[in-house]
Amino acid sequence: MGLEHFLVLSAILFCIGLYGALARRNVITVLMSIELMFNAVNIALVAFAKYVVPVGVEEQLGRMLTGQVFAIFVITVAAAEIALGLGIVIALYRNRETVDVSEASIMRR
Amino acid sequence: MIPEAAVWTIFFLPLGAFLFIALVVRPFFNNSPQQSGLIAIIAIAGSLALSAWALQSAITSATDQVTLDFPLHEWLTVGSLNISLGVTVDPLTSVMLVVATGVSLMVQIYSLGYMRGDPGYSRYFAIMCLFTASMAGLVISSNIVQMYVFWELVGVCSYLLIGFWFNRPAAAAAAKKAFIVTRIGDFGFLIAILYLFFNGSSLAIADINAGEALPAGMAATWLAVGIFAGAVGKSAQFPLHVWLPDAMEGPTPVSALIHAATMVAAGVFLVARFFPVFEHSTDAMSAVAMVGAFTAIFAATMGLVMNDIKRVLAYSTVSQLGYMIAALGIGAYGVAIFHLFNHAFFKALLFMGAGSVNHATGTFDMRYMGGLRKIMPWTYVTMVIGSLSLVGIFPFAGFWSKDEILLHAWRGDGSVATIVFWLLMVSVFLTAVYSFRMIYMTFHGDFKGGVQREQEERGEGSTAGASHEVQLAESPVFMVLPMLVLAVGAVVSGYVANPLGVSDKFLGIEAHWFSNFVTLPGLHVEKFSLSLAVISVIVGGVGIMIATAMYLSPRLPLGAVGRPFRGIHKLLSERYYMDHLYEGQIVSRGIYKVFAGTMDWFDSRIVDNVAEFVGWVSRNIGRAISVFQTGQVQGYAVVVAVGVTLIVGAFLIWGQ
Repeated sequence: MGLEHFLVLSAILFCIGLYGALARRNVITVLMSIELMFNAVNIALVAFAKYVVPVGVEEQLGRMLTGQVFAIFVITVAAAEIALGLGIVIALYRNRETVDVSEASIMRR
Repeated sequence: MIPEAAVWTIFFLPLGAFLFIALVVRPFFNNSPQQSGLIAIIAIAGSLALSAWALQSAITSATDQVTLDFPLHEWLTVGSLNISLGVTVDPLTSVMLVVATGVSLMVQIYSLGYMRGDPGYSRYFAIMCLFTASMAGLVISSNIVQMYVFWELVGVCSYLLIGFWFNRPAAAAAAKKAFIVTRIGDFGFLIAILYLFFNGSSLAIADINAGEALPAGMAATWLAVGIFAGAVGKSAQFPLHVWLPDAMEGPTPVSALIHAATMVAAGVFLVARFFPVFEHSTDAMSAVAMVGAFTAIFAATMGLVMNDIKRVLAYSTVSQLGYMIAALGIGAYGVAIFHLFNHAFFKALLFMGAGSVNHATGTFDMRYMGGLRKIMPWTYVTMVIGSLSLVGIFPFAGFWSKDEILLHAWRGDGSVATIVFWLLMVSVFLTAVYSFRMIYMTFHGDFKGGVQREQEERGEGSTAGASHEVQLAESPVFMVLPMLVLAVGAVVSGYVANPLGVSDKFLGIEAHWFSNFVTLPGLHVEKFSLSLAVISVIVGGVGIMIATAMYLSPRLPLGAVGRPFRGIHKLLSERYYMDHLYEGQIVSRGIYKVFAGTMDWFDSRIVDNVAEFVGWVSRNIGRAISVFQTGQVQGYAVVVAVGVTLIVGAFLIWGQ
């Protein structure tokens, strides 16, 4: 099991998430799809951190956790983002009584 | 010998006075405007004193055979173009300086009385100072570009002064006319300068006159004609004479200054300054002579029928300028300047007389004057002296210079000189008739009511003479004094030439002194001819007698005499329909309809449509693109995702 496996998994997850974000009408599903894309990115980050180390860094500085730190940051930001997103969804629902994104076309004006 | 700084001061004194009056007196001391008149007089008197010094230096250098050389200062250098600044003092310059500043000083003193109480008093003196400064700058210029700057400044100042009472539509129109008409001539001058520039010749006047870079053949003629065009505009020669009579809308002292010393003298000065260029081409000289002589007789005929006293004088000026230009054209260089010198005195005097008459009667129309001889004795006497000088009756100043012009024409070679002689001789007769017609209509007979009568007959309240009332009295001393000074000049200024040349010295002046002083190498000066002088005086005398018979003696009823000549009278009164031709035909039809019409069509059809088309294109492009803006974020995201995929794909395929 090597780096490629993780990257393929990450790519598949990202594509599923992208498809869901672009194709689904339900806002909740869209948000969930976006979460999938975040997770795909997290997997890629951690995989790179595990398998790809710059030459000479380990000898001098010891084990680096850059990728993992990034993944944790992404999780944090995603949590904040989903809280915000759900807030918008609730506001949208209160105003429009729908969670269908195609109904929310006020960006046109 | 005069130092260079003093020559510059002649120009800077009135300029400084202009700046001081315009920037300090007018804004801060406007409640006591008398100061601006005094400042102007002091500055110009200083200039006159320095000009006299310059003249004295020029005389010394002429007798000692030394040339006054002043260094050239670099003004601007762009690539190979190098324009210098500097001053010249030679006989021509020094005489012009004395005339310009001297007449200007008299006019300023006269203006103290004439312009009293005018709301634009300070503005008037400020512009007058600038006018004098420009004229001084023009004559001392040593570079043609420097000269052109002052040339245009003179034009601007005359525009400002002719349109001094700018709330009168006639004055505004006259100012505009003067500016535009002279501008047509200036265009020729500018082309001549540009020709010299593109030929790579030096632009210093001395170098141009040295003739090193002058072209040969037709090009020389055209170069001279270009310069002459400038002179035709400024000196109001046919066919650009139309602005000068209209320029009467300005205050009368302004007319005196323009007609005697500044604006119109600038044209004659220009031809004289570039005389060697004209000498280069016989055709150009003939053209100058013919234009001058034709203008002399052409303007004199119109002077015969004008009823406005200032217009009579205006046509008289045009005619006398024709004499000077014709004299230059036949090679009588010094004589032309001599006539300019004498003319400055008596023409300024006559205009001041007209202003004085207007001060009393409130009108300029001679049909409403008459009988002022008893009431205004000083004005009467000085104006008669001026008129006699203008006609050229012995022994007044005009006699000497006019006689010398006629003599040079008579003795000149070729048919051109002969034609010039006869045209000028007839003009002497016409000059006599119109001058004394003016004197008789104004000062003799019974008083005919002045401005009040004029307004009654027009059946209107008042337009032009709103501020005037009939106050029959001699003018104040400030107005009479300069007239007396100029009257003395109009009598004696001819003697500086000692044209008789009978003895070696007469009152300490050598024979033909002036013409020998103001001359160029290679020009000869004719000796006095008694027979010709007698003939010209007789011709003038006959003219005066005819005027007396027609306008003074009751034996010749004007109506009966005039009937057969009604057609001619009409033609002359309408000024040969030249104004109709220019304004009605050329300006209205040619410029307004054809030129402006074409421009209007081009603007409304082509320019507007192009602008519309540009708007139409962007509007429709926007309309086409706005279809894609659905407001669906997911749609946008699809485009972004596809785009990113395409870019990454392209990078993977071709990127390495």
